[in-house]
Amino acid sequence: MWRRYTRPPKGIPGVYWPEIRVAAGGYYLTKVNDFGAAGALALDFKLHKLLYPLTAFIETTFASRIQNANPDLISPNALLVFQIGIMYSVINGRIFSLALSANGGVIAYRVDENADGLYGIRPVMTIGLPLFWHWRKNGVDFHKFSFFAEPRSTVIMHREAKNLSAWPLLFEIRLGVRYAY
Amino acid sequence: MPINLAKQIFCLHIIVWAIFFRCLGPDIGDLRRTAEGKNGLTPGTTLPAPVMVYPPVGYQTTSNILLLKTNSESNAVSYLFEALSGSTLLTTQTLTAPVVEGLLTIPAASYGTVTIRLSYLNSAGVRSPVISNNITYLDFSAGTLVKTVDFTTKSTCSSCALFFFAPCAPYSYNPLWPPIPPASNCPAFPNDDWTHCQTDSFVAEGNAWICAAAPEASMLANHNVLNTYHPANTGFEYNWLDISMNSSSYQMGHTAAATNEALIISCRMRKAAECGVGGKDTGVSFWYYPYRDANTTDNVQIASRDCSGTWTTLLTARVTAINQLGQAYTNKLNSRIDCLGDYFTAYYKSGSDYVPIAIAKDNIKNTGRTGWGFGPGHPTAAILHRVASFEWRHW
Repeated sequence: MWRRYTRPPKGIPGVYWPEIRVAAGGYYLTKVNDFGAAGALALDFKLHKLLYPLTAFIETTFASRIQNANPDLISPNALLVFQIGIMYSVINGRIFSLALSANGGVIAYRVDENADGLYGIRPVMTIGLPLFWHWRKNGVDFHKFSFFAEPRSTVIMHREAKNLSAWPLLFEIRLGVRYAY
Repeated sequence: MPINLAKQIFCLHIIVWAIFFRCLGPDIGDLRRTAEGKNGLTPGTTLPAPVMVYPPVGYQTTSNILLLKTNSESNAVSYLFEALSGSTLLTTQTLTAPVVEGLLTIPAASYGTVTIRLSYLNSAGVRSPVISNNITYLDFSAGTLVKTVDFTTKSTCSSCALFFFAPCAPYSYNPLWPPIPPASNCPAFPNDDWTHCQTDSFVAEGNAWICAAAPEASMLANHNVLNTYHPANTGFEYNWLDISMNSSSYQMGHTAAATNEALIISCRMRKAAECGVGGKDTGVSFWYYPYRDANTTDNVQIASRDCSGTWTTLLTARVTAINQLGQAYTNKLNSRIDCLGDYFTAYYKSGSDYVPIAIAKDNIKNTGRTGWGFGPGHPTAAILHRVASFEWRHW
């Protein structure tokens, strides 16, 4: 029976070249009720040939604010997120597969004029649920291109670490493509 | 553990915490904080004249607003307020009885003498004049709105006056405004003590202040004026014409701050029956604390108050001048508030320059605050002042 991830991805045998994942989408930031556009670039690494559904990745996200709902509040007009994480494909269909990702890292953001400073850095944690659609040629899966949609939720740490209600949430929806060598 | 290693670990620990809590920049969702010289205004430059920002349609359309009130005529069907410049009718307001209170919005312009006329229509269809007064207007954009009242029609206006809320200043900053009477002429202010503002009545009649320590009743008898302010009142006692006005650059005297204190202002004053944002007993306050060290602590705060009495901080800032000048009796601190549409800006005066302290968004439309405060109006009567600029001195 056919099953995804029963063989290694393409590439040089024995060497698992990282897959490239590119995405774009939009975000909504709680506490300030802003939304904007985001783009992301990631490298996915297969950890072990016996565990192809498991992926470790590094990811960079850039986002730019479109709407500033309340100019009296500190909100990023641009932000950059560096993260590392893992993704495990829990449902592996011939056409679709569904994965669960968890990652953490650092967000760096630039804010509007503010007496306390214009740049902020905070730890972040993210969970995502990417749904992949695998592109096939003549009905054959090449493990080459996969298109995906991924809702994500990122929690951004606040200086008042104990006051969880002060922590902003960054909701994203991404559409993208993953390419394997 | 070698002592040097312990030191290194300790220092590293301090550094990490310092970076983590002090060097990570502002937090998303917190209030933006302005500081001296921010918001595009550079200290040391003379502040330009305020730009008039008119309120949105449906709220108020111009800045020149008069509150007019009359007594209830027993056979009145309606009341008609009219504002005329010469023979040109500027605006009217018709009120169906028993409503006795209305707002006249005067188009912003330069006027000579503006006549406010009030009449009522009885059930027989007969219109009778109630009062006629002459009020001299100046262009608001020039910095002054209402100046004086001409009491030439006093024969038909047996009791009328301009009044001011808390006009407690040892001297008059703006010559357009009536000077505060000297102590020798006014027992209400024996030592030019502002505290009497909280207990005494005062009224401007013509171009002179009339004041007395007695309740307003005696003032009515002695000075033949009706529209006096007394803190014990829930509002003004008005029988005929009642006018509140915007003011520009009038000052309020105050003794030197003995401790941290709050100064209350509001850009918009109106008493509304409903509770909630913009409703009854809401307001925006500008507080400063001269006894806080501006190097370590925010000493200026702007807060809004809802009708339940809850204060919400809109903005805080550290202003060295407040710390340095506010404490000293000899160092006078002049402050200024510009109310421009939805925002008001606070400044202190350095020489002839106005140094911005803070800019805050005023989302409060009305206030019914009691107690002492100051602003272009009084705290209990219904009046709207969306655009105003006023200044006070902190002794």
